[in-house]
Amino acid sequence: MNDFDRIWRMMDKFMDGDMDFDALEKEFDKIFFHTLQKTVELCHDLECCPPPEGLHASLCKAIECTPQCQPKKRKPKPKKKHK
Amino acid sequence: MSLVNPTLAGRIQPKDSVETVLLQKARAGDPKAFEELIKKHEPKIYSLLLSMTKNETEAADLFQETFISAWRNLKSFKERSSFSTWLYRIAVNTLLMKKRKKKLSTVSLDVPIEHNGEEIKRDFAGDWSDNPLASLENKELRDRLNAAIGELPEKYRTVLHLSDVQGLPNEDIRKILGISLPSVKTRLHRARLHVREKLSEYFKRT
Repeated sequence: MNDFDRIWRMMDKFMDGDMDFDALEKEFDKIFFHTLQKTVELCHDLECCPPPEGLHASLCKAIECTPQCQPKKRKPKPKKKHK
Repeated sequence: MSLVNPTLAGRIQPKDSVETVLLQKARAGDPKAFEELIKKHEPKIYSLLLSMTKNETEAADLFQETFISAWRNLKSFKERSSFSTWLYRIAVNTLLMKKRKKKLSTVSLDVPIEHNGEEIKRDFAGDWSDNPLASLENKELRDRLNAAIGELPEKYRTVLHLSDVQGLPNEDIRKILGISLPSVKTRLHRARLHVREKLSEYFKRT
């Protein structure tokens, strides 16, 4: 059933005073959650983009000529003076 | 209904012994061990940076800076989080620092996504979740999905990418971005709503 038929049928029911608003509400909520779940599933299927070729090699060269830093020493907190 | 990425979430392991050994060697100054250690993280970090910058050259520069910074500061890594979370955090901070320096024009992090006055838009696209075209084999839909994600303001795009594309748990995303758990959930929800709406528009037309 396409959207037009769907709306037309609903209008028909509405004109006949036969519209079930509770069912309508549930129907839309169902559609909303189904489509939201499908959206998330589609995102799951997206693959990570691999870095361009040669980037790893140039990174390795850069790393090999970069020195490591010494870990930063944290300064001890000054003790509070009690008055 | 489970919205946790089933394929990727399973790959996230707390720690493996190979990684621990490589980490020890790299800490002791062995660059080869570090190169081996970062190999499996490279696609995830590059993909995140590409998603955040939407520019391949910029993503490649930031990629290099991220891993060089990780190498330089490896001795300061306290293992309070996993190595991958630490790398993600460096990547995000490197990007944010660069943006601050360059003062690049970005979308404000406080701008909400508009949903025509309401978050849940009741449209008449119908339930397209069972539509055979709702698959990434449909190139048009794949492009549409990527475009919808690309349209998101950076703060929403980053959370959606980390959660739904890379399959990270919300707790890790909270640590990487330095925001609260409710903020992660809100951003993710808004991002998903935006993308769903864009896909619904596509199915309305087809």
